[in-house]
Amino acid sequence: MKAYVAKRILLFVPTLFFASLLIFGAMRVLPGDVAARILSDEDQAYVTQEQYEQLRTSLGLNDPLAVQYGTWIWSMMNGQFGGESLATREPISEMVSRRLRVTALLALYTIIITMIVSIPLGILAAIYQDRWPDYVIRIFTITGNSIPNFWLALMLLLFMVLVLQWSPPLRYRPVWDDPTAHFLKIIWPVLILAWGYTAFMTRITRSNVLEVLRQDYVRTARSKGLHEIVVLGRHVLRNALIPVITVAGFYLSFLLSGSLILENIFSIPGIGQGIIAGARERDYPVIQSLTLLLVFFLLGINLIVDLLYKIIDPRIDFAK
Amino acid sequence: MSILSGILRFARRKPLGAFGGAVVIFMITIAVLAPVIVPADPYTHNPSASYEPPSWKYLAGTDVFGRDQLSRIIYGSRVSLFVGFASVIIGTTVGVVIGVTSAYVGGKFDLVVQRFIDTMMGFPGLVVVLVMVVALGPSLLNVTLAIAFNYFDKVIRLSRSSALSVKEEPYVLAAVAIGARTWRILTRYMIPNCLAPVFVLATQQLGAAIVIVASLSFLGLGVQPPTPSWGNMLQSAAKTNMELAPWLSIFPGVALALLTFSFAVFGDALRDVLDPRMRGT
Repeated sequence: MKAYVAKRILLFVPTLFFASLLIFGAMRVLPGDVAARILSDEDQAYVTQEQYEQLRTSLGLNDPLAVQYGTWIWSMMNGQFGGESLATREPISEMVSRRLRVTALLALYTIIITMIVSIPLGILAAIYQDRWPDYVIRIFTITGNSIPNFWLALMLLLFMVLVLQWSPPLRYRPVWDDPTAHFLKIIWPVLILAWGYTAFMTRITRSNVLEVLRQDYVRTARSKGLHEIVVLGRHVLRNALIPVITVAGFYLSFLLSGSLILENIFSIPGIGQGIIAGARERDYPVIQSLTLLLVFFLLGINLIVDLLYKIIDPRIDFAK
Repeated sequence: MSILSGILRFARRKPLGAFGGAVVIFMITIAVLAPVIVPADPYTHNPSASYEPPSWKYLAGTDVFGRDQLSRIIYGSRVSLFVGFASVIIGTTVGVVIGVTSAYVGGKFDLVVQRFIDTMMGFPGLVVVLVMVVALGPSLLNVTLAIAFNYFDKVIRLSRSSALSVKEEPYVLAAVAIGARTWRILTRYMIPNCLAPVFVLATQQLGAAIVIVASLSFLGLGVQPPTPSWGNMLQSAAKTNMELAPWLSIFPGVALALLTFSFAVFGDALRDVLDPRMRGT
């Protein structure tokens, strides 16, 4: 057990290192260089060689690649997060502390709603396998899986404006400042994300419950005359829901991909909006740092979920 | 004859999957025949017909420039299908070769490949594509490459795991025993026997790729206007007053949702038929 935990944590570091190299590398293979693109974006008719060199030096582009990489990683670790945004001059550390909270809340609400909805639905679908509740739930999950998030968002906005004559509040407010405005703003992307997430989790729950229902110990429990509710609660669900937790962690990266676009459509000032704005402005320090941060959190959460899984389910073979 | 009866049997066993397959074939036909079947030129501006609601003349209405939306949707299917198929073909080919080789050769190469997959699985899919498109610049080709890159790690993972079991099969051991070259073993014995699950994954990825390219174009980072794509049509619809011309944001999305839905149900049905172990998951 200890060896497994140690191995898993040790693997986390090279994986993160590899990720940082990929992101760093991608930002350096740009056709043309960053400085030239920044200058061409500014409304200056004529740029001297001197200004160009000055900008390159101030961006650290004249340093050897290893030094640039080292500087960046060091600033990621000491909380500077790669300096400041090229577009807005805002320190990235401030941007992170402001935006991370919003995305974390968005993800949290989505996860809560998903868990409340998907587990009962999955169980229901399994119990009534191939009967009408299963079919209704299946339609709900298939549509949730295949309607593109961002179009669903557009349709929701359109519906609210045309039919309800109502739009969400213009500005995002923190929960403690103005709870009503906060929820009226953030609930829409949450519902859309939760639909896709629920679709996925319901399918997983259903297939796990189905598998456990076929086990011998369930037949034994039934044959000794236990009430069906006791069989389900004590024997089936306990065993069926464990794998569901791991998959929940795995899906988190889909969740964040989705929030990337939805934050933009519903103008929620989270990490996703920051990355997209950075991508549009070619704001390299911002994309680089926010992306690595996102990957860091995802890898971290997956690690924790993985370890939890092994703790909850003692049947897992640690030698593997 | 046997192909036809095979298709009929598939349709009887999996009606929804067969429906998906039919829609996909229909969309491909439309995309190929686009120049012949469009009612109007998708690029021609017609200021006198700006914001026409759907009618018999303009089945899906017109946009601010008076361009016929149905024609633009039909041309947009070309972008979706091209990126979908091209990225899946590239990703699958590269992924299978790396995955199977990695399983067969083992050793340090396999270790590096495994670390690489672990890393890639840590990235949110859209972020990988986004970073690559920003690095390479937005264009049809770069978007295709970025989506293929975001997908081939999954192919490696899947083909590697099936190759690990195929490697122990008697026919591979026999090939090794008679002294066949590594390259021959890989191409003749290993790869063909690892393809079934990869094929299923590829079908499901087609739908995902189409959503990603639409999402990117919607964010302004994919296919650039005036080339019509469903994503950038939705983007320009969202930018103008949506409630003024709701048809602009409805129809391209319907086409997109229909195609991804079709790929999803077709892929599921295919998986049930080809890979009984994964049935019902």
